Amino acid sequence: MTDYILEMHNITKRFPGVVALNDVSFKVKRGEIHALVGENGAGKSTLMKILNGVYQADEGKIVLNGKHTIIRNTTEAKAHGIGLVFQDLNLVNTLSVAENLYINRLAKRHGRIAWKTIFREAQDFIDSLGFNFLATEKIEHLSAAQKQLVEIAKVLALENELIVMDEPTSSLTTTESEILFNIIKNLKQKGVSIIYISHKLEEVFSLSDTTTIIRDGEVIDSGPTKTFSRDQIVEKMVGRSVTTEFPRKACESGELVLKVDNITRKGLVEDISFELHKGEILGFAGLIGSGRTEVAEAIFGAESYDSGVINIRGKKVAIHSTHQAKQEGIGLLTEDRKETGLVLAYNLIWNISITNIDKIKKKYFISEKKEAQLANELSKELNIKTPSLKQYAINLSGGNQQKVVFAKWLFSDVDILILDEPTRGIDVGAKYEIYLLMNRLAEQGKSIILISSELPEVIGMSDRLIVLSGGKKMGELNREEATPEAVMSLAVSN
Amino acid sequence: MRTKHVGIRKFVNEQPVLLLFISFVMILIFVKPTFVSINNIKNVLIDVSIYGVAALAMTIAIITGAFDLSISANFAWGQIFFCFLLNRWGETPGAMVAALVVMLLSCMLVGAFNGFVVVFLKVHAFIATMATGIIVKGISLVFTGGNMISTSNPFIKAMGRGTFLGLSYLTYIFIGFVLLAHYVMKYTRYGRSLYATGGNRKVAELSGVNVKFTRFSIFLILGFASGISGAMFVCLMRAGSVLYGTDLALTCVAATVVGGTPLTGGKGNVLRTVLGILLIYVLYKGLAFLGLQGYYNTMIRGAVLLSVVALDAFMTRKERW
Amino acid sequence: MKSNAIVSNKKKAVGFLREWGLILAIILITIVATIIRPAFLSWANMLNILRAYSTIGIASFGMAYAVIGGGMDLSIGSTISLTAVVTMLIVNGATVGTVTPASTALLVLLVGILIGATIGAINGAIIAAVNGKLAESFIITYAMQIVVGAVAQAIVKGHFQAAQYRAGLFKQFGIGFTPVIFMLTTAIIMQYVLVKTKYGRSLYFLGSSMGVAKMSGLKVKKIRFLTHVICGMCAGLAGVIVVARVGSASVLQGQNYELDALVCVAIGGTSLDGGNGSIMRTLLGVMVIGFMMTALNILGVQSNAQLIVRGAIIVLAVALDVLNKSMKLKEVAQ
Repeated sequence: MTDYILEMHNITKRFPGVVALNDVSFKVKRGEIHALVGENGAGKSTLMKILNGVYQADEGKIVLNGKHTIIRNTTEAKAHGIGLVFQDLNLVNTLSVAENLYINRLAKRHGRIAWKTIFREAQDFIDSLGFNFLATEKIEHLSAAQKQLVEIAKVLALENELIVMDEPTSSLTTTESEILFNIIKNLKQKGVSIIYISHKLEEVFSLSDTTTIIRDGEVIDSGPTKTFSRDQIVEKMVGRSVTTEFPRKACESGELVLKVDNITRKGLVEDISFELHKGEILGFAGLIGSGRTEVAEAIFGAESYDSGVINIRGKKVAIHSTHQAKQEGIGLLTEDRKETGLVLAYNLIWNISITNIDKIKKKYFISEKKEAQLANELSKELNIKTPSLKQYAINLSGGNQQKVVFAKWLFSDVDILILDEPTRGIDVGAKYEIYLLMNRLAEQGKSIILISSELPEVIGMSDRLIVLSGGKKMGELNREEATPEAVMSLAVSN
Repeated sequence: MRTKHVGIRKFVNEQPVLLLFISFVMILIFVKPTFVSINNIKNVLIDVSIYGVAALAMTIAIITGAFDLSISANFAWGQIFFCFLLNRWGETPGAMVAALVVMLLSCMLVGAFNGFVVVFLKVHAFIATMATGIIVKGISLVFTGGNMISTSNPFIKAMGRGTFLGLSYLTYIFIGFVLLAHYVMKYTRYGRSLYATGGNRKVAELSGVNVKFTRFSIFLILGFASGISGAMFVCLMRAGSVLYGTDLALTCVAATVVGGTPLTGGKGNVLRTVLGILLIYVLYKGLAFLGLQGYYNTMIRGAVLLSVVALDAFMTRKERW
Repeated sequence: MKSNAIVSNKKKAVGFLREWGLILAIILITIVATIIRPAFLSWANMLNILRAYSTIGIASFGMAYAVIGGGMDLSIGSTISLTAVVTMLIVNGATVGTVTPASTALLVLLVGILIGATIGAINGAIIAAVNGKLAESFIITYAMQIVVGAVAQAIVKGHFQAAQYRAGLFKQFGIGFTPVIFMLTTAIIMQYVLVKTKYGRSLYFLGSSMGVAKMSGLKVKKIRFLTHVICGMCAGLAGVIVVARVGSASVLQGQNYELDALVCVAIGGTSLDGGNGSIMRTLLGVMVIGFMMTALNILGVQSNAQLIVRGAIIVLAVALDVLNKSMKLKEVAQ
């Protein structure tokens, strides 16, 4: 028996164009609560996915309970007694809480499923955890927070020795969080080890014994939590000098282009107001799920909003559809370019011209010549690397695909661009090109809303920043005020 | 927080289709009180019993996230082949059982073909089962030359005519299958794995449910059920033909949706479908009773299905387009 | 290495078949049928085949639009029946002696297309309003098929309608080259619209990804509605021509048309998942099916057995499409 339940030695993981993890070693003692902190994209999730068998490490080894273990897939991870509470819920919405807890191992009596026993045991279990819902309730009738608790209960029911919790409190209220913390403390008493991933440093301090800080795919520091101060951790998380790699120059903003007052989508966003000027880049910062995308969808007409007023160039407009938003000069580059940004099976010309077919018409009909010519101009301007514009979008790298999405919206001649995670999953070089492009667009008089989970990016590129948390606007910061620490503390404050 | 959702409002919100139907039938009964006669009730129950078996299977399929348009053709094939075998093999009990078993196996073979094409060749269930339905219909037509096949088997006649405590034997068979289906869906792990598969295939797979087997098995059940319905139909009509039951698949879908099982899968139950198919046949018979015969009746059947599916889709769609 | 070579050979073969398979099939069928029955390869027979399949062709083009847009329309069979009986009633009603006035011929053409458009509009309105998924389009149009079929029945009380005319423009619609010209004209116009207009381009995007279509600011509902209207119009036109061609109308006139249309579309290489396909290839599909079914007739295969062939073709075509797609994906993954 070693002291460590889990040792991950010298883990390296490369993705095309990026080194996600570089020689990371990570050890968890038996019965400790080990906090893993870092920015979005620092490599925490990749590390945990390797532990869970979703990814395979390129180099390095995993030692579980002193034994060298190879984890090829999630089923094997489960068999090795690793429990995971992930942010994305793995629940069957149409079934009851009890069924989700015991799915595929429902207790039987006389050959039939003993519902009474199951519901009673499930209820006892839920009550013992201090959760406040019925075992017979269908998942779809639960609140987001309750669903998260079911997800937690589901993992706890397996009685694992090692549990990974990835942002377990992201959708919980304070009281529910308190319940969870008690559970975690109880588990620790029983000798269960917990890897706790959180952005909320208060939680890290009140819960964890050890803290490991990851940045840019490397372990920056690791040690007993009490040896760190809050500021030290934030500094280590953010670390690098933020300003230099972002080419954004401060500039004077022009006239008011878009004014949004008290936009509300029930249960998603509440009373969000902001202004956007000509030639300005307005950043939307906040954690994943803080309501940034939901605001964008409402402005772009993709989803309806319950109340609020949108003014475009001083004129009040009620936006009912994406088509109408486009007519009003608003474009949205969605966060999921593969699902809603591009048709991967079509060539680049088609993908670019779809937002504005009228532009390539000669009289009534499409002129392929004009279409190819205009697409080609844009492609050159954006430096899209492809042997030919007849190439299918699927054959391009992520960065080039993203440039095609940009081209598509530039083709439509809209002047308000909402960029939702424009640099997600693309390599450093392409990122920089996109930053330059954003600069250029702003100079040309376009107004940009930049939604990004990467703190340095959103701080470095924005003229002004709005920080959202839990669907509410927590504050607005100008370029001078927007230090990583200030943004982070607003983003985790709700 | 610890509230259980009950009450009329919830019912109205969640079951608009069912509510619409119940009120419709109530109005019908109110307008024509004579409609409620022993004879009518019996007739409705017989229809319900025959088509109900297939409807149960369709409900199970929809809960699992599958679908089968070929059951209409399979149902007709079942009748034809059953009559053929009965005529050929004679009237001993052994021969009749053999005829039933062989016929059911042939129907399940069709189901297995569907399952293979949908689950392993990954073809969309609608297209695959539609094509299978065409093939089976073609086979039935070639087999019969387009003619009706009748049987004078006395036992079959007795099954169709006989009653116990005032109810047709067929109704008892149906009740048997209802109880069986309900038991399987509620009290067996297999049943729950069907729900899980329909609710979220990915999660079901992660939780260790054999999703491929589950989906494949559904098509076997559908084949089996259409065979049973076919046999029951033969008991009533003492004949089989390609022309009988062409709208079976859609009636079964309608019964499922009217009962409150949504087309999206993962929820619903078979007992509700019993209510659904009962309401549908009360409506059909009621329309006939009001004097709407033949094509007018057909027209309304189509319209009912149309509105039921459209309403269901409308109520369940949340995102904006 | 060896397995790579096999994969690439397989890929080449599939690619070749996709490009030239239809024409190859037509040639093969012609050769086989001609060997058995030399009369197959005659001008008269070729024209006969084209004429007989002209209405299926027109209906297929409409279906191709629906399928490219990611939907399906199973109601066209009944639409054709309804148009056919209405056309016959009007034509018979207006026929003086044995001659139908030219104005009537043009009128029924208009009425037929309008009937189709109306049914298509109902389909389209419902499907667009509920944002129907493929499953719901399927059921909704199938139910529409039942309703419209019953309407056709109600109009003629189920009776068969024989032509009372012997001459006139309307009769001309059905003889000689005219039906073929109708088919080819429709094909050319629809192909042109598909590749040369904003609507056509939007249709492709809608069929391949509703999400991308919506997030690119396309009018998703309008496109879906319009597509069903066009599909209905094609069926209406086919219904008029079929009456002129066969000189009678019954409520069973359009039976299996939705099926034949689907077969032709699938054979023409249009993926039933939507997002690709063309009218010209559908036309080739129509010819393959026309040649094949005629050849089967010559070989003495009865129409009932031909039903089995049609069903099998759909399964085969769709399964091949799925296979082809998974191979493409693997190719990209490598």
